[in-house]
Amino acid sequence: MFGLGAGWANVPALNLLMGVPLKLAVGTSGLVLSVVDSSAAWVYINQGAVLPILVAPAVVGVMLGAKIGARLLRVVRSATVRKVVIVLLLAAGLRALLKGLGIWS
Amino acid sequence: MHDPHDSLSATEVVYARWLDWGTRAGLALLIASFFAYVLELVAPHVPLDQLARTWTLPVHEYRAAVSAPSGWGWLDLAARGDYLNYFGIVFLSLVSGICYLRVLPMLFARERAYALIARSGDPGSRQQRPAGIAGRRTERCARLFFARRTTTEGRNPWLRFSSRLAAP
Repeated sequence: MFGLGAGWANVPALNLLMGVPLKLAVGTSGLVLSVVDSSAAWVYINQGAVLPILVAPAVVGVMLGAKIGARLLRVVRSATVRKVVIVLLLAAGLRALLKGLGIWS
Repeated sequence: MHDPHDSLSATEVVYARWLDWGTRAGLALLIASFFAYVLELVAPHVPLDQLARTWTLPVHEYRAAVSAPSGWGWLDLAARGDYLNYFGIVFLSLVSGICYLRVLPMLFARERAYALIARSGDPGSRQQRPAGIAGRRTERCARLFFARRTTTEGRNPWLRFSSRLAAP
């Protein structure tokens, strides 16, 4: 619903800096990241750095979340998505700041 | 009710359909292999209790501690429960590429149509000349395109190929 993984950073960049409509930005981010992350997976597989006990549930969760998000996106208003993206950005920024200051361990 | 497929090109629909079925198949494969792993229906290469002790190590230390392979070495351990999951992961990481390969001929076909449209603006053709400012600009672009192609297509195999496709 927010463009997968790093979509919380991609979607505002596409939407605010490049003027792409919000739902198109979410779809574009999802497509780009699915291709890029698929390529990146081969690097980790080649390194032998993949733990199936962690990866399999994560992949299943992300894929189910992406499917639910794509369906929700068709019925949810753009303004609502924008507000949720802003809240997520604020939360992620605040968490990064607190971790940087050593308050959030 | 509005059908979203109405506003999509055939290429997009085919890509989406293949992606949908590919991800479903990959997901089913991953879930099945994961349950076979955690329920220990298939013996793992690294026992779960040992895994919890070693997964905090750096990659090279982890690999040394559990004798984990790198590169394509996981294929030798494909009969083990944990490495069985790699098939689902690898399949899912290939799905996007497979979908692109599926629509590639359609994209080439569309390029051919574009080439035919450009051909109609070729001043040497017997098509009606396009009118207006946009038409004159199209004609100028087409003239430049064909002039450039005439001089370079003999050397460039791709242009020779596209020229054959665009031939009426």
